[in-house]
Amino acid sequence: MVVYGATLLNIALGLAVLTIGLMVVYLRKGDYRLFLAGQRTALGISFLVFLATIILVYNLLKSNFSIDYVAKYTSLETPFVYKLSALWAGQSGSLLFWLFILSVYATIVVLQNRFRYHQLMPYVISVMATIQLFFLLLVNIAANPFKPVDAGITVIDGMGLNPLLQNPTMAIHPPVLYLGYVGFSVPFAFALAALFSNRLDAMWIQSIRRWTLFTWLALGCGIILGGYWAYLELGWGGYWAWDPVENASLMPWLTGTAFVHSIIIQEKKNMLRVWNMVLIITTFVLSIFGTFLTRSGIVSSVHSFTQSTLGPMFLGFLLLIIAVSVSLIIFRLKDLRSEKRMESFISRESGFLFNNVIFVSLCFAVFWGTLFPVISEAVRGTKVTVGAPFFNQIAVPIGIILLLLTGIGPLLAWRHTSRKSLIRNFSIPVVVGLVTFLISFFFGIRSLYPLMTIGISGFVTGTLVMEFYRGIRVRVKKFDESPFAAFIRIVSKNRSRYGGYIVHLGIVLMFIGFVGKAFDEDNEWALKVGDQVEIAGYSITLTNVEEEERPNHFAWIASLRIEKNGKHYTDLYPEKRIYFHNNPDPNRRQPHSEVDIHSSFTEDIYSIFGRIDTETDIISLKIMVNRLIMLVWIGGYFLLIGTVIAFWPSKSSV
Amino acid sequence: MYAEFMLLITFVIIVGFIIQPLLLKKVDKPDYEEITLETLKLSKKVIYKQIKEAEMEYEMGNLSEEDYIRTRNSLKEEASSVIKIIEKKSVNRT
Repeated sequence: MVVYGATLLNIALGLAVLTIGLMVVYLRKGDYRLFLAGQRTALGISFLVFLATIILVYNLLKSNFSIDYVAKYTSLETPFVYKLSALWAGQSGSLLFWLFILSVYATIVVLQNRFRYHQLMPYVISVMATIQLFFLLLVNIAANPFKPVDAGITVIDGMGLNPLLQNPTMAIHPPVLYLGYVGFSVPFAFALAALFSNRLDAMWIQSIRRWTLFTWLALGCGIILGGYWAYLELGWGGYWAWDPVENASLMPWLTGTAFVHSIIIQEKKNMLRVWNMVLIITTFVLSIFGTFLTRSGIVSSVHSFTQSTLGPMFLGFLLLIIAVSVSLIIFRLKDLRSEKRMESFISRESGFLFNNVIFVSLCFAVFWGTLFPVISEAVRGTKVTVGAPFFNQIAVPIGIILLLLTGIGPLLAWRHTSRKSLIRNFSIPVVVGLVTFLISFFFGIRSLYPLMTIGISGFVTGTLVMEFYRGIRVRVKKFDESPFAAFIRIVSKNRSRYGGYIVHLGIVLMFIGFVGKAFDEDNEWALKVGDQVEIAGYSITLTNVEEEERPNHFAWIASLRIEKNGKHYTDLYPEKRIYFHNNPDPNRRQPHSEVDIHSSFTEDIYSIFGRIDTETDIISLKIMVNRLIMLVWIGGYFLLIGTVIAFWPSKSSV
Repeated sequence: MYAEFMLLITFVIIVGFIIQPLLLKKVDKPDYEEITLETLKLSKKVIYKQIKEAEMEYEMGNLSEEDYIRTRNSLKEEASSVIKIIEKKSVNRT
């Protein structure tokens, strides 16, 4: 089975070369049979990658420790679901998984477009096969997931999965994030195909609109799930730390968000054609760059589960993509330039453009901060790391401007907005924003950024509610419908518009959730059973500490009774665990704090069992009261629902 | 032995699948002129959609009458120029 899996990847590598070759010959000779054969070789690559992935998963589940990867990332005690998720826990497995998702996408692209976009498809297939070729080279040469354990060694039990990765969110977060990362290869392939074939009209944009939305959603959900995992598992009470690998996923999301907005202008106005090319190429390059950051180990990160020497190969591939893309854009610059110009500064087009500039600026700031340690080391010889304060200093004001634009954009008309329209559209939302600002001030909020964020959130919510209200009112008047029926109709007939508004509402909720961070409280104590402490109006009593031996770890479980206003409110059970506790080598035993959280709409009580002194039975307990955090997760659901609505195909429009 | 047998089967299936189109008699390439026409028709559809959207914006009160009339007229001009090109291309094809 092991030989079978490895050989399938060898054959797939050959097929990738053959696919590119067939497409090149087809484009020169024009014999359509070569194109049809090329389509089939592309499907063949995917088929072989699917088989290879299935074989590796089968071996992970069967605990076949003769494979090095299986021995390193699973053990006999690893639960079934984490044996499955071990596929993306290590270097070679996650590269195969990248390839697997890319192959799923390639298969869909080939099958979906076998009778469409005939001028683009030879190039699309070639570009996708080239990306597959790169990853096939990695899994065949540099990081073979089927590599056997060293000769003469028999592994009785594997090393097991890192305890931090043994969390249900971690079983979902990487695949969803990968769906986003890898997904940008499809719009990138279409963009390059448009450049190669000089078909620079709206066709390529039309072909990738849904792909881009889906990919953008997947990356966004992946980032949120990653934040949720960090919140549940890392035990520091936060969800975003500006870690280099977190930043690596944020950067393509930022440029992807700019792209999702700017393609609307190309679709409607045939403008920003060069800009869109630059944006999607940058987004894909940043996706590969993200994988490079995770794999190369050039920056230190909490995501150091997988580090290796693959950096130079990724860097080479990145340079190749940039060189080819930039050359093509320069070569086609004359054809790419739009004949149309902005008619007015006060228009939706310029609003979108401004939003794009802000997104790209934020991306550049994050890029600079992330790579600063590497740059400083190269220039001055010493590694200077920039932390969360640097990123917050830049990202918070830029984020507030973006939030403001979320409200302004929908109120501007295409081409030009007259003064009369401006006054009519902005007056109510501005009043709502001001009232929200004043109420927050009245309730004691004095910090500038939280005040501004809340005021602007009020303004944006005002614009969104007005948009829904006005749309419903028109239908009620025109078609004599009930308000609810009118609401359903306006959304279903203008899915991209109202889906977008729901996404914007989610962003508002998230920003209010971010503001909550400014009002968090925390404290840490050394406690014995029976001790009682107070924080943020809660009374916390340590009622018991139990011990329990479980299949893959040993746990001390603290029982906490939480009271509010003298009444029982909830109970929490944070744990201190030792993974691989039966391992005779004490260095292999891994301590881990499993937090317990009580969540409500306004605040979370977050409990962390730091350590235990087994001689005195004194435990170290940290309690954090995190405000409004629930809104961040609810905002994520809005993002999901809104994008699915926008993504869903619509047959008609109002 | 089992792995070798599986490999052989996979290889034969893949090779058969790939070379099958090469064994066909010459296959005609798709008509690219038709594709250009499709793109133009798509542009026309997008412009019509924008006219409807502008109408909706006007009815909602987001666009003043002045903005609405200017937008509608300019979109109608765009639509008529696209329709002219479509007609010209269709006549050339027949």
